[in-house]
Amino acid sequence: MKDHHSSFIILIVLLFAYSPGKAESKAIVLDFEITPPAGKLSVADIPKKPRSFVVDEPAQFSSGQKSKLESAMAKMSAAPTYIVNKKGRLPVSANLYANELLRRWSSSGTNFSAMVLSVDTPLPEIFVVISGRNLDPGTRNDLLTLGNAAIKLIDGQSGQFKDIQKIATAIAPALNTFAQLYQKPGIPPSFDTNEINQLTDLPANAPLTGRQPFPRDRSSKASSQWDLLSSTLDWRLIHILFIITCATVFLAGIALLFRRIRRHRPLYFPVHKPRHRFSAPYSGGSNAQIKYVSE
Amino acid sequence: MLAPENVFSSGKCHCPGCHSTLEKTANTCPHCGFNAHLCIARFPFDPPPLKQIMDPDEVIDAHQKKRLSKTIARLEKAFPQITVSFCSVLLPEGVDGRQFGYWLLNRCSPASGLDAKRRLHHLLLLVDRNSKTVSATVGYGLDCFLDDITLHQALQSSRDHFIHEGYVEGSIKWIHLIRKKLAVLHEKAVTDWKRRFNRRLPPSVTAEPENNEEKKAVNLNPYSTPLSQLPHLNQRNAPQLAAKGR
Repeated sequence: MKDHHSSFIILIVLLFAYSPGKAESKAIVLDFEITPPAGKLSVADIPKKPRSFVVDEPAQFSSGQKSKLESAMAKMSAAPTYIVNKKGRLPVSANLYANELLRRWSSSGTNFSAMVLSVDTPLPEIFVVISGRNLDPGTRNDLLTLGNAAIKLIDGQSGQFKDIQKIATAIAPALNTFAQLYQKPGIPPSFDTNEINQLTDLPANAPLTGRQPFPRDRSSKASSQWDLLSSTLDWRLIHILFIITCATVFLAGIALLFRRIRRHRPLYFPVHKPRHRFSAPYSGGSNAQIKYVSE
Repeated sequence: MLAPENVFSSGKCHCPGCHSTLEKTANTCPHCGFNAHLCIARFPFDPPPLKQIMDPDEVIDAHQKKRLSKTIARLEKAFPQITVSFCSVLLPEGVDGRQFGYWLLNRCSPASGLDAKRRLHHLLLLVDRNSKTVSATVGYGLDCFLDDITLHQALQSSRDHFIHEGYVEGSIKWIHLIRKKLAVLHEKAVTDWKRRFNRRLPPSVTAEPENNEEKKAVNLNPYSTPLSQLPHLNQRNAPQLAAKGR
């Protein structure tokens, strides 16, 4: 890692360090080449190629706020930064979710990208996710420091939009500058096409060794329609409903069984003293008769 | 504990000979002089064993027999005290099916003590193919619940089946009707018993009676000697039922 990179990061860290942090926030650094795609854990509610850098699912931001963020994010050509406001809990862990989205949205020529992921639940969470390719440990640490510094901007008092805005407007230019500086030495990660072709022939669960680049198209193959559907379903609710339905059917079955047993139980007439008539031992002549011919 | 019969019925009965209503029990009908000895004299031959389906002429096909047997078994399963017999015969002209049924039920020797016990709750359906009549006869154990009127109503309700679908189908229909009526009658009988004794039915009442109790009940009347014990009479005029050796 070059010295000017480190000093730049330290400068930003010092700049953001005074801000109080927040417990429900986290900085995540992803490397597309070693972090596998989410696979089954896909998302269906996010467009594959967003036209906007701001994806506000619960529509919490006003159009003015959204356009303000949008215009700020649009300037970052070297490292696109997305702002995702997700309603409800995430179907998968935050890093897998962000990994899936950034993989879809980042073009192959982009080395760095970032996402400010706000999860709108009763206990809101904000994640700063920075992704890159072929990150060495030093760069990885620098990016993590950058993310943590951005996290510290959350004061928890000015509101969620303000927090998101602060983080996004801080991280986006910083990462953009970082990406531009990173490219200057002229060592962009280059891929041998033969190597990639070989890797795409590997089975999905083949172990990856060292810093082998992960086949990029594997993620799209792993995300089937079922995966997309399953991510939208509330499995917990389905599980509860299934249990309730089974319990109801079981109880109804038991009730019907008891009813059937009760209805079909053998009946005994009360025994009484026989009133013997005409000296007959078994029957006193109680009888009835009809003629069964049509008249 | 054996309840007196008047808990469940008024105590009126009918004479099998002249069918007149009698206010109280008697060994001889005051109107026509009918008694068991006269009845035996009318049918002076050994009765066949009382089976579930009695078809001495073998006129009922196997399928119909199976259906009939199934229907009877269903009733006997629902009311384990009750046993049912179906008999199809050609009786000579002038012989009343009711009297023949009465004779058959009383005269036929039970195969065992258990059979004798069950005979009190026996239900006999007799079809006389000659006069095209069908008659139903019940034992002492059932006659206070299943009176003549109920039996007649059930026969009338199944009359169309007897006419249009044959006597076997008519009998099946009748047995079904009786089974449904018995369920209602059972409920009423239990209610009457509870009202009278103001308590839950003891097991001896709800379940099948003990042998001793039943024997006692059978022997309560000094005139209750089984007809089969009476002096054997000569077997002239035996109808085909006996002639077939059944």
